[in-house]
Amino acid sequence: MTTTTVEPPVAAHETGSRRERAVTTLPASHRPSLHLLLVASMSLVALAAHAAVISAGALRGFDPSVVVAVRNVALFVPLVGVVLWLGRSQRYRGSMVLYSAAVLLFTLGLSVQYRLFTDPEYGARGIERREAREAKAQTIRYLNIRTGYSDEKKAAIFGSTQVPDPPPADARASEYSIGDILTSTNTWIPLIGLAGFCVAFRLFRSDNFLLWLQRHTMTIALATLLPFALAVIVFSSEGKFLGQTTPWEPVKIVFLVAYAAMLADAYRHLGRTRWGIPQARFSLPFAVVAAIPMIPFFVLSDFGQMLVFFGVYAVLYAIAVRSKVQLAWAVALVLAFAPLLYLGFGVPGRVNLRFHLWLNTWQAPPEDTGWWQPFLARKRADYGFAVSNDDAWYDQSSQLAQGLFGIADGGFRGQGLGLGYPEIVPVSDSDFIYAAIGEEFGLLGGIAVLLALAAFVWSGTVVAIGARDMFTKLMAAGFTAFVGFQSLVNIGGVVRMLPMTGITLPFVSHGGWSLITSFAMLGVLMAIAHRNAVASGPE
Amino acid sequence: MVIVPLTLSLIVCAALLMIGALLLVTAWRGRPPQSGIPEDAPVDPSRYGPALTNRWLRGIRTVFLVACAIAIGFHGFWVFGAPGSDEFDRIAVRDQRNRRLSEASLRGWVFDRTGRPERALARYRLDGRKIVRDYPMREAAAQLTGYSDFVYGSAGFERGYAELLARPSSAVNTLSSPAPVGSDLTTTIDADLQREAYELLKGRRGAVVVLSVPNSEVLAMASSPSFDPEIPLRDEAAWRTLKENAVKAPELSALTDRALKTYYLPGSTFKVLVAVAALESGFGGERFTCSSSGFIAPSSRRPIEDDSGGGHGNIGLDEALKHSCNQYFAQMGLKLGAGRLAQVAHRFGVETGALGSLRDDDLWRHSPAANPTDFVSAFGPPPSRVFLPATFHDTYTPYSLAIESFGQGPNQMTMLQLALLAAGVASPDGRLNKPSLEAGVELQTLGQVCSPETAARVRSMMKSVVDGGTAASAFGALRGRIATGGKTGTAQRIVTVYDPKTLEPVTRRNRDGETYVVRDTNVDALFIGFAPFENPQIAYAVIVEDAGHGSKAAAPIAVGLVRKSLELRLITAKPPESRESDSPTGKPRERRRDDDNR
Repeated sequence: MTTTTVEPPVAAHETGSRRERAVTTLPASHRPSLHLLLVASMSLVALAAHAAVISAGALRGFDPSVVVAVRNVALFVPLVGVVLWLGRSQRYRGSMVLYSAAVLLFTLGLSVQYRLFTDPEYGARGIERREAREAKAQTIRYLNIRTGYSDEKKAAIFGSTQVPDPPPADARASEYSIGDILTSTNTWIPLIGLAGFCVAFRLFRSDNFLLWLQRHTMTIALATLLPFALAVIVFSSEGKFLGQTTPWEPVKIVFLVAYAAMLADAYRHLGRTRWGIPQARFSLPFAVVAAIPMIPFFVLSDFGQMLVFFGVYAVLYAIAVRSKVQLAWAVALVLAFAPLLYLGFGVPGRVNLRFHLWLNTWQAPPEDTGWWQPFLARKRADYGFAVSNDDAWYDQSSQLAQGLFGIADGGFRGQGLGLGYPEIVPVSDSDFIYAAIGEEFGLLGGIAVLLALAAFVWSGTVVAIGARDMFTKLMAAGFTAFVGFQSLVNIGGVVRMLPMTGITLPFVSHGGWSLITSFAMLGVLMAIAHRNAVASGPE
Repeated sequence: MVIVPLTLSLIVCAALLMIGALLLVTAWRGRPPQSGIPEDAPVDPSRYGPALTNRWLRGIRTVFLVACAIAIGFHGFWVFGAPGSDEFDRIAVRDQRNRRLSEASLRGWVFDRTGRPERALARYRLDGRKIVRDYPMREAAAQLTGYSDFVYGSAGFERGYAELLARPSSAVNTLSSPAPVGSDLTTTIDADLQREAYELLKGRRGAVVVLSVPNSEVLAMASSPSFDPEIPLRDEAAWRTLKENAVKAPELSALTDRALKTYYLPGSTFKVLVAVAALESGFGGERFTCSSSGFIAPSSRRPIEDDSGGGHGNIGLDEALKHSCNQYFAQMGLKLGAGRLAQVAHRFGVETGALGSLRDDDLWRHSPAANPTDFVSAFGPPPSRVFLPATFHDTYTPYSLAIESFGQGPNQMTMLQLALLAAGVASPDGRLNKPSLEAGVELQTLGQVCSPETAARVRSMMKSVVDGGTAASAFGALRGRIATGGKTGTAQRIVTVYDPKTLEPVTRRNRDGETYVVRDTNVDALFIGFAPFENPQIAYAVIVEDAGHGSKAAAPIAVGLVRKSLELRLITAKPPESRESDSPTGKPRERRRDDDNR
C-alpha cells in the first residue's frame, strides 16, 4: 500500500477544472513502487536467463561471453532509472503497466538474442557454418564419452582411459573486450531507445507541442516523406537499407501522428455519408494523406509494414468515424477482392509466394506455376545444379518449416535456454524470434509473450479511452494498435495463423531502429496517459 | 549437467509468466480514470461522440484479445496437434535438428559375438581430433553393419536396430547431456569368420551365409562385391554414383545384398529338400531309370538330361544325390506331387502358395528391442514373385514340377533360406530353430522339418557327395582332418546383359527393326553343407554368380569356411561324446573364451 500526495502540474487549457486534490490510494496499475519492484525483479530474471545460456553453452560447445552478459544485465540500470525518473522528476501519474509489459518483452528478447548470438553457428555461412556445427556436435560427443562410456570403450577410442579435451570451438562469438562492448550497437541502441522514450514523453506531454503538431500536420508529413522516399528509391533493396538496417522505422511515428491529426480534424465530416459513402471533398484529400506512407513501403515491397499501417489506419478510421455503414462497405470491398488475391491476379510474386507458404507450407507449387518460376530459377542458380522442384521449395520454405519444427520440439515447457536448435532458423533473432522462444521456452514462453502483449494493449486502450480530445485519443489508440498489430502479424506469421511478412516483434526482436521506434511510441503513449491522469485528477 | 540450464530456464519462464499475468490483472483492474466525458457535456452521454468512440475502441480491443488467444491456439496445435499426424511426421524428416542430433549423439556400439570393443562391427574412433562412427570390418560386412546416414543408417544393423542404438543407455545420461548415449547391441556374428567369408568371395559376385547348429545363429553373412560403409560419410559424389548405379543395374551393384535381398535359383542344392520330402513320404527306396536320352515329363516334349550327358542307369536315392542326377529327381518330384513338396518346403521356410506366405521376415527371431518395421526393412527380403504352388495350374505344369525338383524351376530362394535348408538337415533331432542375428534371444523353433532318421540319412548322403560324389575333389583338402557333408548346385539363370561402361542394358535390333534387350545365361555355382559330420555345429550356403559348376567355384569356398571355422574352434572334429551335448547355446563362444585366456 503506497499513498502519495501529488501536486500535479496542471495543463494550461485545463485551468477551469482545477479541483481540490485529496490524498488517494492509486490502483496497482499506477503504483510506481510496485512497478519499480517488477522491473528490478526482471533484472534478476535476465541474470538467471544469461546464467542458463552460459551453463548450456558449456555443454553444447559454444562459449558465451560473460562480458556481454554483464552488459545485458547492466542495461537494467537505465531501465530502472527511467522508472525513477518518471516518478520523481516527472511526477508521472498514469498507468505503469505499459512500461512493465514492454520491459518484460525486452527481457525475454534480450535473453534469446544473447543465446543466439553467442552460438557461432548462428549467422555463419557455408563452410564456417558447417565447422561450427560439427565443433558443437564433437563437444557433446566428448562430453558423452567422458560421462557415459566405460573405461574399456574409452581405451578403445583414445588408447587410454583419459578423455582429452574436445577440439576448441570457434571462439569468434565469445571474444569481446570492454572496448567492444562500449562501441557495440547492441549497447547503444537500447540506450538510444530509452532516450527516445524520454524525449517523446517530454514532448508529447506538453500542450504547446501538441498544438504545434496539429497546426502543421501537412507540412511535417510532407517534410518527412520527401527525404524518406528519396532514401528508399536510391539506396535500398529488398526492404532493407545499407547494412541491413531500416532507418525509416521512426518515420512511422510521424506518419501516424499526421494521420491522427488529420482524422481528428475531419472525422465529423467523414461521418456524413450518402449511401454509406462519405463526401468526396472530405474523403479524397484524406485518402491521399493516408496513402502517402504506403507508397515507399510498396517500393520497398515491405508488405508486412503495409499490412500493419493499413490495419492501424483502418482501426483509427473506424473508431473516429464509427460508421457501421462504412464498415460494411469496407468488409464488402475486402471480400470482393479476396478471391482475386487468392487466385493471384495482379499480385506481386512475392505476395503469391507468401500466401502459398502460408496455406500449403509442405506442398511445393507445380513447377510450371508462373509466380514460382523466378524463385525456382534463382534457387537452381544458387545451387549450381538442377535441384528438384520439391527440394527448391523445401529450401524456400525452410525458415517457416524449421521454425515450426522448433516450436513442435519445444513442446509445453521448452527445451531450455541454450539447449534447443533455434540457430537453424534464419533471422531467428528478429523476424522469427517467436519461434526461438517457442523452441527454448515452449508454449509457456509463448503464453508469457502474449500475456505481456495483452496487458500492453489493454492499458494502451485504457489510455485512449481516458483521453480528453480526439487527437490524443487517436494517437494513443494508434500507437497501441501499432504495437498490437505488429506483434500479432509477426507471431501469426510464425505459427501459420497469418501469412509470413518479415516484420519485427516490438521490444523483443533484435532490430536497431525498430527497438528505438517502439520505445519512442511507448513514450508518446505514457505522455498521453500522464495528461489524462493530470486532467481527471485523483478520484 | 543439462539439468542446470533447464532448471534456470524454467525459473525464468515461470517468473515471466507470473509477471505477465500480474500485469494483465493489474491492467484489467486499474480503472480507467473516468470516461473522459466532461460533466457538462452538451448531449446525452451515451450518444456523445467520444463515448461512442470509446465503445468502438473496446470492441476492437476484444477482437485483439481473441486474436491473441487464437495465436496461442495455433502455437498449441504445433505442440500437441501436429506431431504424430502422418503429414507432419513425413515432412519432419526435413527437420535439420535430426542432423544435429545424430551428429552430436553417440549411437550404441555393435559387437560381434565376443562382445569385445576391439572386435566391434560398429563403434567410434578418433579421426584427427574428431569422434566419428567407425566400421572396422569395412567392406567385409558393409551389408550387415549398414552405414551412417544422418537420419538413420540405411541398412543392416544401423537400420534394423536404429531405435535400440539411439535409445539412451541410462537415465543419468538423459539428465547430464543434451544428446543421448545409445544402447549397445551384441550380435551373433563372428568377426573373424565374417572377414574370412568376405575374403573368400572377394573379386567375385556372390554370397555366403553361415549358421550355427542347432541354434541357427548367424555366424557370418557376407556379400560381394561390397563397398566401404564410410563412403556415405566421406565422399558424397562417390556415394551418389554408387546409388545411381544400383538403380540402373542392381544385378552388378555393390549395394545389393546378395545374402538376404536377392533371389537365386537353388539348382541342385534343392535336391536335398526333395530328398527329405521323399524320405518323409516313404519313397526312400524308389529306383528310377536315368537314360542317356533323358527323361520326358508328361505333357511336354523337352527331355530332361544330366550335365554329364550319359545316363546313370537304374539308381536309388543315395546314388542319385551323390552324383546329382537330374532325371532321378525330376521323376521323384512328379511321384511326390506338388502338394507334398510344397508342404516340406514350407517347413523349411520357403514361401508356398497353398500354405500361406512364409518369408524371411517371419523367419527371424529378434528381441523386442528391435522395431519390427525397421528390422524387416533391414533384414527382410524383397517380395518374391515365385513360389511353390500346391497343385498344377496353367503355368505350373508337370514339366515345371519336374525341373523344379532339381532347382531349375520357377521357385527361387535367398541364400539365408538355402542355409536354413542345410541347418534343417544338420539338426540332430530334425527340429529347425528360427535364425537370429542378436545374441541372447530366446530360442524359437520353426518346427520339426523332418524326423531325426530322415535327417541322419540325408546327412550321410551329403557326406557321400563330399567323400566321393560331385564335391570330392574340392573337399580332398579336408580329408583326414574333418568329416563333413554338402551338396553342390549349378543353376542356369537368364540375366540382362549390361554395358560395363554405361551400365545400360545392351540392346540389339532384330530383323523387323525392333529393339530388344540382350539376355544371357549365367551359370551360378552353389554349395550348401554342414560340418562336422558326426555332430554338426555349423551349416552354410555359398553362391558365386556366373562362375560355372558348383563343385569348381562354390565348393572351394565352402572348404575355406570349414577350415577357418576349425581354426577358430567354432567347430571341433572331436566325436560327440567329448562335448557337453545338451547345452543349447554358446558352445563356440565358450570355446573362444578359452582361446583368449591362453
